[in-house]
Amino acid sequence: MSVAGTDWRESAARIDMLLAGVGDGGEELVRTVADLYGAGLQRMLELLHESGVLTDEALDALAGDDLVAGLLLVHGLHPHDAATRIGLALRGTGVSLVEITDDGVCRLRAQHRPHDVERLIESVAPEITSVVVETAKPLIPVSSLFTRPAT
Amino acid sequence: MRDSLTTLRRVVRNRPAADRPERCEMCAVTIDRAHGHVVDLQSRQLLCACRPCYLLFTDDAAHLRYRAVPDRYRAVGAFLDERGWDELQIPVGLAFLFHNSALGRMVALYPGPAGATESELDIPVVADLRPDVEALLLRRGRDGYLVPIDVCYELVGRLRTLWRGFDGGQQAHAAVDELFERVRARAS
Repeated sequence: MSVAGTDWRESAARIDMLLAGVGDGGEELVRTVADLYGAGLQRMLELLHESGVLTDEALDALAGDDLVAGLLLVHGLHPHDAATRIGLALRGTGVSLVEITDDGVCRLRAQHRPHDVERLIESVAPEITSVVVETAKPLIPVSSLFTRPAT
Repeated sequence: MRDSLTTLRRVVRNRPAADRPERCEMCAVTIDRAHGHVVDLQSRQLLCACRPCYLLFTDDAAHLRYRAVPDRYRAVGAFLDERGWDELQIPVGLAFLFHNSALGRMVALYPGPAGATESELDIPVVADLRPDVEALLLRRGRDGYLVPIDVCYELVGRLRTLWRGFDGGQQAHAAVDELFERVRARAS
């Protein structure tokens, strides 16, 4: 049976739903199966690399496919590093990446606090442990509007 | 959107603690699943120990803070009679007794949803029982065994996660039966 052509997003959502119904034992089963496939993916990439066909173009093509990139991320096998992935995901949002610290904190800078940016970061870089957004200070502090001038 | 793989990512990343190798709590070397334990006589805590650390504390007569838990199983039959059980005032028909050397008397504990609960009781010290490291694990009207005290800790820990309602429920009873079956096999 081939799953090509069927909507893989639907399968992913279905895993979510089924898992909610069975509890911890189910998680262990899913983890074990996922580990097996992860090991297979890793071996595949190694074999491709050894035979010299894993060129930059090939890697970009893998990273450009939502399903493949998503699965590689699950297993920590994505060819691009976290900074590159985050940079690409933030393109056009007005948010810029400041740095990723050694303990996995992602620091961002933005004019306004972007909506749901943690989720966006998590989806492209699950290894990030927390997201810190620095917003530019407004020119007139809001608190000063409530203080009465001395008469 | 790659967001639909959130669950897979979470499941693969959230590994249960059991996947991590266990370590000796005295010298931090990695140890097998089947390892010995030592009792901290001050805090009454059980520590996982590698073989070399375990062997440091096997002398019963030594005045040390830690004592190795031996590996001895014996059937003792019905150690307490019905009156003895009544005096224990234990709501469940399951208890373990051990000789607390710090208090200089026997202590009876019974498992429950909040872990082990102590029961006040004046029973003579059982001479054959090694203080602090061995216990009498008893079922009311059924059987009793002399066991290493870590077996009792294990049972209490398991029952805590399984306990439902007043008397523990089916799962807790099954866990108790399973443990007694294992102890019986070791004792014979």
